[in-house]
Amino acid sequence: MSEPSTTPPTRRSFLSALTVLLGGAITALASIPVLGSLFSPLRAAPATGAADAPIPVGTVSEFPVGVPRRVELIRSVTDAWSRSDATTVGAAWVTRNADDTFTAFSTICPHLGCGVNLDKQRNIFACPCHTSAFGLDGKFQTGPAPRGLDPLQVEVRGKEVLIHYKRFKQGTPERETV
Amino acid sequence: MLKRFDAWLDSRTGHRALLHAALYENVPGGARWRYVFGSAVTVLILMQAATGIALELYYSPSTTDAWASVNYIETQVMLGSLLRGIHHWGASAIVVVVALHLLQTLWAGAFRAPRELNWLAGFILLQIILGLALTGYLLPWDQKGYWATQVATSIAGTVPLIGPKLQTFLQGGTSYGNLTLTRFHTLHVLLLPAALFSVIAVHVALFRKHGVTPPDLPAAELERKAEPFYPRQLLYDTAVSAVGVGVIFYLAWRLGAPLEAPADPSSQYLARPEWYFLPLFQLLKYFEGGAELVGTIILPGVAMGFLAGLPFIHAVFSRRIPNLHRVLAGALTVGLMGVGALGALAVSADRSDPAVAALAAKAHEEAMEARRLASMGGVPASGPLNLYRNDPLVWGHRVVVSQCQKCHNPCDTQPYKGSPCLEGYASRAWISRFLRNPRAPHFFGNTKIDDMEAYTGPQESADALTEFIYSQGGRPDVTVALAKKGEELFESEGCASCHTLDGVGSGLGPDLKGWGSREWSYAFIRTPDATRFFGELNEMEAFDHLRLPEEELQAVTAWLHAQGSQPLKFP
Repeated sequence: MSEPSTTPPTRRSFLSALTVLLGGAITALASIPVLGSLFSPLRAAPATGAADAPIPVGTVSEFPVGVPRRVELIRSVTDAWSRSDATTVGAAWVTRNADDTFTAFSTICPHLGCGVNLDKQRNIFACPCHTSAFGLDGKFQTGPAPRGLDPLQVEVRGKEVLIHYKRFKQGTPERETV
Repeated sequence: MLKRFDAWLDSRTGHRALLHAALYENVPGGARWRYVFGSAVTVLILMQAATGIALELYYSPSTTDAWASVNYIETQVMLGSLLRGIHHWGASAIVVVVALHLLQTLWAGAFRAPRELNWLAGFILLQIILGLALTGYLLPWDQKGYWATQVATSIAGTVPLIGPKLQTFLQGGTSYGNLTLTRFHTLHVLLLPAALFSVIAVHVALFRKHGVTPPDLPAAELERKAEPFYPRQLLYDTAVSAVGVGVIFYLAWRLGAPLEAPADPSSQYLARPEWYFLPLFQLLKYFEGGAELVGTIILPGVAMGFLAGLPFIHAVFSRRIPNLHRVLAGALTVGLMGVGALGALAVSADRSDPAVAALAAKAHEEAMEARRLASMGGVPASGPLNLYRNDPLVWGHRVVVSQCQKCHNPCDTQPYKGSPCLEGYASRAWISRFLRNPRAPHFFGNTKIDDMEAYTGPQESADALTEFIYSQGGRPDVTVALAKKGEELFESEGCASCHTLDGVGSGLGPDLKGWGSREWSYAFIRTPDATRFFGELNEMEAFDHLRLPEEELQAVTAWLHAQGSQPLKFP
C-alpha cells in the first residue's frame, strides 16, 4: 500500500516489523495456556487401579443354563473431577454353560458401537443399528460388523460371578482394547 | 500468486479499503502514548475471551461440580493453572486499564459534543466490565466467591419496593444454589460478553466517526503534526498491550489464581470482595440500620449518575463557566481518588486486625486441606463438602473446634485457662507429662478435679506406666514387654487404689480399661458422669445424641484417637 506519510520508508518498515513482533509475542503468550489446556486430554491418561478390578454381577444360580442374560456393570468411577461410588459403566451378555462355566460378551457392537440385543426367536445377538448378527457363541454371522462380539473374562469366586470389563476399539477386524 | 488471490478476494470483499481505513486513520497532532489505553483494553478483552473459552471446556456450573472442576483445571489440566491465572489477573488488569482510559478521555474532555454518545457507550462498557468481574468470581463456588457475592445480591435485596423480588430473581431462588450458579454463569459467558462486544462495536464505530479528541493546540499545529494511525500509533498500542500481557503472564505464572476451600454455607468466612469492589465494601461500614441504602445504592448511584451525566452537565453549564470540562475532570478525578482512598482504608483496616489475619490463615489452611483431599481419588459426586465428611479426621476436627474448644481450648492458647487440652491427647508424651503433673494448666489445673497425686517414681517406671496406659488405646505401636511391666507397676505403685481396669469403675477415678480408644472416648463423651468415668467428680457436660449426633461423635472420636500419634502443642 502506498500512502503519503511523514515517516520515511525504511523507518516505517522497521516500526512495522516491531509491531508484528510485539503482536506475535502477545498472541504467543495468550496461546500457550489456551492450546495447552485444549490439547490436555491427548496426554496419556494416568492409570487408575480401581478400573481393573472385576465387577460382581450376581451368584451362579441367578443365571439360567444356556440362555444369555443381560447384566449391568456397576462400579465406582472417577470421571474427570467427580468420584461416584456406584455408576453403570456398561453391560454384558452373560451365559451360563452346562458345565457351570460362563461366557460373557460386551454388549457394544464391534461395528460402530450400538448396543446389541438378544433376538430370542432367531437365537442370535442382533444389532439394531446396522443389522449385524452374531451367534450365541459371539461369532460373526451377517452384516457390516468386522468381527464377532468381544468376549469378556468371567471369574467365579465361590458362588459369586465377576466380570473383568474392558472396552474394545470399534470398526477393526483385530480386537484391541482401548 | 498471492497478489492475484488478494485482488480476487478484494473484488469480492473490499477488504483493502477496510484495512486502509483502519490503518490510515488520521491522528491530528500525531501519535501519542496517552492514546494507547483503548486498544490495550481491547487486547486484554480478547485475551479474556480466548482464556475464557478454554476454561469453559473444563468448567461445570453446578454446586456439586463447580469447585471440583476448577480444582481439576488447577491440578490436572495441562497449563490449566496458568490459564486460570491469566484469566484472573487479566480481569484485574482490565479494571486498571479501563480506569486509565477513563482518566485519559476525561482530561481530554472527550465527553463534550459531539462525542456525548460515545462517552455513554463507554459508561455502559464500564458497567458491563464490572458485571463480568462480579459474576466471574462466584463461578468457582469457593468460599471467597460464595461469601463475597452474597454481599452483592443482598445489596440488590435492599432496593426499596422491588428489592426482595430482585434478589430472588438474580439468585434464581430465595437462597444460593444451582440456579444461582447457572444464572451467573449465563451472565458471565453469554449475555455480558455478547453485550460487551456489541457495545465495543458501537464505541469503536463512534470513535472512528469523530476521531481522537485532539489536544488543545492551534488547528494549524495539529494539522502540521498529524500522521496516520499506522505505523507509529499502532506500534505504541501494540507495545503497551504487549507489556500488559507480559505482566499478566508473569503474575499468572508466579502467583496463579486463588482457589479457596469449597463454599460452605455453615462456615465462618471472612467475606471480602475482589480489590476493585473494596471501596464499595468499605462504604457499607459507615451506614447503619435504616441508612444502609445510602451506602449500598444512593451514593454509588449518584457517583455513577454523575459519570454518565457528564456530557449533559457540560452542555448545560459550559456557556456560563469557562473551561468547565477541566473543572468536571478535576471533580471526577478527586472523586476517583476518594474511591481509591476508601479501598485503601478497607485494606489497612484488615491489615491492622489480627483477627482478620487469623481467619485468612485458617481459610488458607482449609483450602489446602480440601485440595489435598480432592487429590486422593477425586471429589465425591455428592459435592466437595463431602470430602470432609468422608475424612472423619477433618470433619472431627471441625466438630471439636465448634463444640469442644469452648472448654478444651486450643493447646497453644496463652495463658491456658481451659479444661484439659486435646491436641496430642493420649499420646505417650501427653500421658507421661500428665503423670508427672496432673494439675498443670493443660491438664486438670483449671478444674476442680485435684484428687490425683503427681507420680514421683523413677523415670523408667514412669515410662513403663505410660506405655501401659498408652496400650489401652488399642495402638499398633505398643512395646508389649514395657506395657507388661507398666501393668505390674500399676498395681504396686498404687494407681489401682483409685483407677480400676474392669470396665465398670469405682467412682473414685476413671476406669482405665480401653482408655484413649474410640470406644472409651465415645462412652465418656455421652456419659462423663457415669461411675465408670468421673462419677460425682465430673464437671463436663454430657453430650447426648441431640447435642452431638451419632455421626459427629464418631468423627470426634476418630479425631481424638488420631491425637495419640500427634505431637503436643504446648511447652
